Amino acid sequence: MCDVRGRVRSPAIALALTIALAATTARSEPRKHPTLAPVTAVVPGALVHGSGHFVAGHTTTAKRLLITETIGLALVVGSLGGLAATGASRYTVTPLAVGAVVGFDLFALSFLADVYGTTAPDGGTGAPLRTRSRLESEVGVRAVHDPQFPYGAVAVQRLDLREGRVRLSPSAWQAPRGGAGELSVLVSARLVGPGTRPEDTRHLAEPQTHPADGSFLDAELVGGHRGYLGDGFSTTWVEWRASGRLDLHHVGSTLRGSFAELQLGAALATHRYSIGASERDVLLLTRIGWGMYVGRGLSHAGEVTVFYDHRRDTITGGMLLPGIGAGYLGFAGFSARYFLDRTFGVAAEGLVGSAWIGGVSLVVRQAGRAW
Amino acid sequence: MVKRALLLSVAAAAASCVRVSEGRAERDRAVGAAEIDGLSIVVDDGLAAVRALQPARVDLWGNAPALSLRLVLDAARDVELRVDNAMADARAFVGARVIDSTAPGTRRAFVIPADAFAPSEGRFAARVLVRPPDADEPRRFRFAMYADVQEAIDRVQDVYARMNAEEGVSFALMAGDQTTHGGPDELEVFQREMATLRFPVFATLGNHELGKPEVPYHDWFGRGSSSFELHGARFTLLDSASATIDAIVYDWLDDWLARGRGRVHVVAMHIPPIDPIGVRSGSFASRNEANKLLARLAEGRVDLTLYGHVHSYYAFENAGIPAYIAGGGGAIPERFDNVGRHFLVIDVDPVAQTHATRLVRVD
Repeated sequence: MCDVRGRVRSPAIALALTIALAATTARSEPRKHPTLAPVTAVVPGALVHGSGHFVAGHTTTAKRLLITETIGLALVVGSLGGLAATGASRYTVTPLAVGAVVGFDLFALSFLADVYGTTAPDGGTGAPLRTRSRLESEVGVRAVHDPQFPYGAVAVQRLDLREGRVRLSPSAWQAPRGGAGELSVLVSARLVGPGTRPEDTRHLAEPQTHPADGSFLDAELVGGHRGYLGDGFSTTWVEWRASGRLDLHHVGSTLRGSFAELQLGAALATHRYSIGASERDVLLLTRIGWGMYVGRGLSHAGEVTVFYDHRRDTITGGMLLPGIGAGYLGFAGFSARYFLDRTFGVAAEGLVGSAWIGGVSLVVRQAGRAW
Repeated sequence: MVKRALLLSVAAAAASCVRVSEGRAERDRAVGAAEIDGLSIVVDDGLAAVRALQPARVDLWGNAPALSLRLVLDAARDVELRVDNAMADARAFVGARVIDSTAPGTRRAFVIPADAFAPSEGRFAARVLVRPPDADEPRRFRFAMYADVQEAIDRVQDVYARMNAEEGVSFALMAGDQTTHGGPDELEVFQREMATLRFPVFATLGNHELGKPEVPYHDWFGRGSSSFELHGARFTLLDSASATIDAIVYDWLDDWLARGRGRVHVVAMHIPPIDPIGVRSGSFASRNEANKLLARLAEGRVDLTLYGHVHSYYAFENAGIPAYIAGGGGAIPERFDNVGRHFLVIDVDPVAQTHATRLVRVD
């Protein structure tokens, strides 16, 4: 049906085969107790993060994961305690809310990393995409289940234009019903990471000692307009944020192929109503994620990310929870991208908030410069 | 087959997760209707909860100043109608007959005589109105508004004493979080503490009433979403306890907004659509839904919106509508705001179509 090193007919099959191939890759440094370690990463690893690595004999990584968990827990407990003690005071809520989300990030990250590091093959499930295309386009469709807004399906488009450190990325979505749609433009400058310095090609010759590093830090500015003509309102906003990724091989060699993401920022929005009134709003932007690369090279490679985003102003909205804790969360989801060759790829995402959203896109890129 | 079942399960899970308050809207529909052998009752618009039903006695908890209900008996007989949480000057009207209460204060009791029931399809029926005699007359009146008592129920008498000291308050609106977890024992205590007030409290629920899976709130205090009129002004209470409003309630809201056009219209709910401190997000789960609701309220010419949930006092505008958050019932206060426990006193002039809101500090 397919040749993993050549052409594939189905992205899903290619993805599965790539994972399987990666999983069967010979390990240069066999871990102790390869069967027991993944189990202990879950039990008691769900409580004591790093347990899996400890059983596998990677005690340094285990300690780092445990320390990460401890810091995360301390941040969560401290921040939630602070929010309760201050009654979510307007004067202290921003650092406390950020602390709670980042703390949860560290807590979840250390658990996922422990599971990943005890189950992934040596060298990881993949490596960062080693190309930065100057031009990339994405067109797709999203099924939206939202009783408040009967979108049905939504068409999505995105264009990425890159030149050096700078990226310009206009994107849009339109709903065929309800007169709803959004147009936004992102401008980002890469501060650290691929594209900011002469390429280090040592990872090509010495992948074990010099793994490719997809870590980056971007400064981003976004402006956009969202309209709901059928419901009589629109929103225009501008947001500024810092988005970063850290490849986790910096934490431990067993974590090669996985990464953590963090985004912090703020948005200023103006909401206009059809009767003529308007109001302004300030939003806290906090997004955390964990992911893994799938496959290696310039094609047959991609990445999968699971994330939580604290904002509630997008089409997804925040999660609706039964019970007392209603209204405090943003949305969660996954996103995945996989390139079948140097030009074509597929993307998929699933989001859970006030709306449940899922869909796929076709990604087309200009064959880019490898790094 | 397995795949289909899986897909159906996922679809059901998605549907349940995006309509977390649908069940409560369905329960709202059932409030005010009950039946036993030989007697049935339907309270129009579900504006009272049926607490107990016996062959010759009906116990209601009112959630509006004026109630209209239909009693149907298998045989004509005297029926004792007890309405707790009623306007202190409420009387019962059956046709041209006016029946005075046999009990004072907000716990009204009326004996509907057997001859007030008219034969109807082999049974005996009576339409009973329980309301102040001048409920339909447009005139100035005053009401209080508060929210977020929660664990401070032991100290709520301070708030009630201050409310009772306010001249001319006809009733209070309670915008949710009466309790900490919403259990039957807590609801009972809240009801007991209310007995010291000289006027009724018309309420909706807050997220803290959702702490028990069965959510017994409706059995005590009736609907979460309802609408009523007094002296020509309309009041609408919405169940936003889950940081959203169910699609069923939006359908009701369209009707209530239509009925409120041309009148002073006050809308109250627990969780505000938007938090004036945006980074805190003590508001609806979806900003887009918040905008949708506010656009609808603005187009419906709502005059005033009242909220709880945030334990402080805020005066602001949403979609051009004056808005107040008054979460000062005693629950953990927002620190550093120098507000403390508080409530609002609101004067309404339905003729001039004006209203004035005043903050009353308790501490």
